[in-house]
Formats: sequence, structure tokens, C-alpha cells
Amino acid sequence: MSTVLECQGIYRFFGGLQALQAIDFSVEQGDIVGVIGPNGAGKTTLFNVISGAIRPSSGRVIFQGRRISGYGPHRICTWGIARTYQLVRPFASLTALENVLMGVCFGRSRHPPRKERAHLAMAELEFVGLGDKAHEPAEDLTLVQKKSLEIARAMATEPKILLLDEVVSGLTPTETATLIDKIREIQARGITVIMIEHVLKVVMELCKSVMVLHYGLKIAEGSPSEVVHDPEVIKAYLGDRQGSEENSA
Amino acid sequence: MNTGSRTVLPPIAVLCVAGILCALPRFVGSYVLVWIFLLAVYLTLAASYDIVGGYMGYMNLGHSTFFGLGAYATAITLNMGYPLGMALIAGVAISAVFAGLVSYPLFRLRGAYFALGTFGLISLMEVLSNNLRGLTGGSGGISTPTGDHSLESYYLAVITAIATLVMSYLLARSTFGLALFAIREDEEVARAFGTPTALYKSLALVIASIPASLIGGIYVWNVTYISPPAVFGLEIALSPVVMAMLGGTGTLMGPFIGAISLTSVQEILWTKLPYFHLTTYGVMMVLIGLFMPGGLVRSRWLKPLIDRVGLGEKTHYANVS
Ligand SMILES: Nc1ncnc2c1ncn2[C@@H]1O[C@H](COP(=O)(O)OP(=O)(O)O)[C@@H](O)[C@H]1O
Ligand SMILES: [Mg+2]
Repeated sequence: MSTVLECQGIYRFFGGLQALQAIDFSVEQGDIVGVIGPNGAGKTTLFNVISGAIRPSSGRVIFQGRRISGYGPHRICTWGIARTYQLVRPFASLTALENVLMGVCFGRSRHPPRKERAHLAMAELEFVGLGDKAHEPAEDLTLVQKKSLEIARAMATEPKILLLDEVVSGLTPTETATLIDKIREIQARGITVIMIEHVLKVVMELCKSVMVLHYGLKIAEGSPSEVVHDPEVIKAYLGDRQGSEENSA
Repeated sequence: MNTGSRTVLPPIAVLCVAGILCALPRFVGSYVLVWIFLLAVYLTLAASYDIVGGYMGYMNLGHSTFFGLGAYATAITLNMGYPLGMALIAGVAISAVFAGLVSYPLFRLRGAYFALGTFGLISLMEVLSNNLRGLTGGSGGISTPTGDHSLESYYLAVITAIATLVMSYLLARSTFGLALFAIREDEEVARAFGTPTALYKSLALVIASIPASLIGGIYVWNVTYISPPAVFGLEIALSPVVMAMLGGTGTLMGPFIGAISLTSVQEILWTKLPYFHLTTYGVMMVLIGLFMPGGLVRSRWLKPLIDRVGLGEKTHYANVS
């Protein structure tokens, strides 16, 4: 097994806020890795840094042995890192097929011939079960369908690493089960998956290893069962829950 | 189901319209020809405006800068003794280079800031054309070598207008067009999925500047005299925006329908109430915003018809490939 992605000493500040501090973290080729932590811990910020949407204040991201931090997101996408958004962001007025076509036409390292593009995009739509919605505008889809569309669009770029930002949250148990199968299939296609997830059951079921973030710090790392019994992690989660109860009271 | 009509109908329609327009001078008087000439000018401006303003969603209030620049450059080149073809090419080239240069600072702005920035370009051009007297004749305007070119310029304008519509039709079905729509919907996501957004935005502005400057050159050849307010004034600046909005931005037929309706309305008002036309634009903008934000093309009566002939919105990239 080889390391496909490595974060070295990542810091990210927003004004005075330290969203990420000294994050060291590496991912093995072909694994499914989880990133968990309370709200505002910096998980999405980490994805933004990896995908190039924002630059780290300091530190480096190494992908397949090359530094990618500092490059634009469009370059990083064509090199092989694709993502979904926690708050879904499909191209609203474009059809589902056109959304996925964006990934096929622009997100790959090699542009497929024009004749094959619609076919390739259709295959990804069918993979996530949206084959019959191909010509619907994305804005008319349900939330679950929009999430699937985001996965299809990301898969259409032929990624080596797929970043999934809370794709399971808000789904029914049946939908969750289907999605878990999909993620396993994605892994079977040789793609490394890094997933941010609140639903612990899913993390336990899918992930080989998990990193826990809290206030921008990595507080634990290891197998899912190790991590959930870690006293620091329990404290972080319980502390957070007490905090939110106080807030709502 | 109607994929056949989708691919066959638009070319046939274009050929029919082109045929009628070319045969028209034999049958109608010069009044109608002048009207169609102006319609072609406005239509070209509206359709080219819509590539950046509608497809890509960046409201370019300064689109008439390219029209004026094309007109002035063509006039100056004609006065230097060059033939029309050379003069038009010079107008287009200068304008395209200008578009490429200003695109860099302008596209760092978004939304209202972009609209205002582009609007500022017009004032800049007006100041320049007023003050570079040796080149532009200053506020007195500039005349081109005299001669009646009304028939030739009629043909040229009609061809340019049709070519602009065809270009925008093809653009909407190209990969480049798909990227422009994606930029309109969510620029950051478009970039995250591999689109070189900065390059594409510049390209879109350069492409949009070409028909606008070409029609500017044809315009000055026809009227043989222009002054700064005539080409950098408020009316020519607002007309493409209002026409595209009235017809429906981001669609092929929108600028077409908008240009025809607005020029017709003005033709009626013009004779009865002079100086009313600028007010018309203001009133139109408010009314469109209030009652028809999608424009005529998306209204209940027109939409089914337009979709039927294959020129509606849902006939973009995916349906051709
Ligand atoms: N673009 C930004 N500008 C300012 N603050 C931000 C920005 N993005 C995230 N933050 C802040 O950084 C912290 C971490 O956010 P985020 O990474 O979204 O958390 P998580 O995904 O773990 O819930 C939060 O306090 C959030 O308000
Ligand atoms: Mg988040």
C-alpha cells in the first residue's frame, strides 16, 4: 500500500479564528477514511484546503508525491481530486446530465471525444440511480437526488480521491443503506474515499481509519472502534452536546 | 421524438428569413429598409450582449463600448483611405484586443460591481473620443467619405445579425457554452470541476465584442457621421440590455424577440412622442422586473411555441451529442 495523500502541518486562520491547526494526516491508496468532529471543528475547511478552494495559511498538501497546495482548484480537480458539497451546490438550471457533463468535459486529465461524453455522463447518472432524471433541471430534484447528483458529477471527473462532505446526513435508513453500497462500489473501482460524516454508524461500517477534529485540532486518529472509546473524543462530543443544550435552553 | 425537427428546423428557418430579407429591397421602400437596418443593428447588439450578460450571467452595461470603438476605428481607417473590408477588420481587431485587455481587471468584480465597472468604460470612451481631437474629431464627431451605401450596408447588417444569432445558437450547444452556463449558476463550483474560469470569461467577452464592433463599423458606413453621444450615449448602452431582458436573457430567441418588440414599440412612439424613447427603457425595465422577470420567451404564451420549434432553453449541450 502506498500513501496517496499527505497533509503536512496545515494551518488555516480566518481572521483571529484558527480553523485548522497543525494538521498532519496521511491516507493510503484505496482506503475509505473518515473525518469526524463536532460542528465548526474545521472538517469542511480541511476539504477546502485539499481541493484547492482555499489556500492553507501554512503547511503543504502532497498528492501522489507532488505538492498541490497553492494550485487552483481546477488544476487539482483534473489531477484527480473531486468533491461534493455539504450544502449541495448543483448547477441549478442545468439538467442533471449537463451537471455531470461538466465533470466529464472539464474535470478529467484527458478530455474524452465529444461523441462519448454524453454516454460517459449517463453512465455515472445511472450509477447513482438518476438515469431517469437525466433531462430534469437540477433544481427540480429532491435533496437526496441532488446529493446523488453531486456524487455522479464528482465521479465523472475520474477522480483518484473522492471527498464526500456529509453525504449521508438527512437520509432515511434505506437511502443510507443504498449509499453505503455505492461508496463500497466506488472503493471497488480503485478510488480512495475521504468522508466527513456525522452518522457514526456509517463511519463504523465503512471506514478503515478515522481522524477526529475539534476546534481545528486533530485530537485522535485510529480505527473507528478505537476512536469512539477515546476519552478525549468522548469529552469533545459530550462537551459539544452540553454546550448546545445550554444554548438551546 | 422531435429530434428531427430540432436539427432540421432551425437551419431552414434561418435560410427562409435570410432569403426574405435579401429579396425585400425589391419590394419595399427605403423607410422599411432603414427600419430593418436599425433592427439588425440592435439585434446584433442584444444577441452579442447576451453571451456575457445572459449565458454567463455577468451584466455588462458597457457592451456598447465595443459598438462605439468599432464605429470610430472603422471611420478613422476609412478616412485614411483604406477599403471597407480593411476598415471593418481594423474595427473588430481593435475592439477585440480592448475586450481582452479590460477583461482582466473587470472580471475580478462580480454582480453589481461588475455592472458598474463596465458602465464606467462607456464614460471613459466618451471622454477619450471627446478629447482625442486629432483622431476622433472631438465633440464635433467624425464623418466618413460620403456616398450612399444604404443598400449594401442593409445587406451587411442583416448578414451580421443572422450570423450573430447562428453563432449564439452554436455557442449554447458547445462545450464552451456549457461552461458559461455553469459559471452563471455557480462560478466557484465550475472552477472546482476543472473549468478555467478566468480564461473562459475573457474569451466570452472577446467573442461578444466581435459582432458588436462589426455592426458599429457597418453602422458608421451607413450613416457616414457619428459623434460621441451617438455611439457612447445612454440609449445605445441600455438598448441591448433592455432588449435581452424584455425577450428573456440567456436564450437564443430572447434578444431576437426583445429587439423586434422594442424597436416596433419605439417606431410607434417615436412619431407621436419624440424624446420618449429613453423613458420607454426605464419604464420597460421596471415593468419587466415586476411582471415578467424571465422575459417574453419564458412567458406562458410564447414558451410552448419556442420549445416546440427546438429553440427553447432545454436544447442545450446534452441534446445534441
Ligand atoms: N470562509 C470562511 N470565512 C470565515 N470563517 C470560516 C470560513 N469557513 C469556515 N469558517 C469557520 O471555520 C470554522 C470551521 O468551519 P468548518 O470547516 O465549516 O466546520 P465543520 O465542517 O467541521 O462543521 C467555523 O468556525 C467556521 O465559522
Ligand atoms: Mg462542514
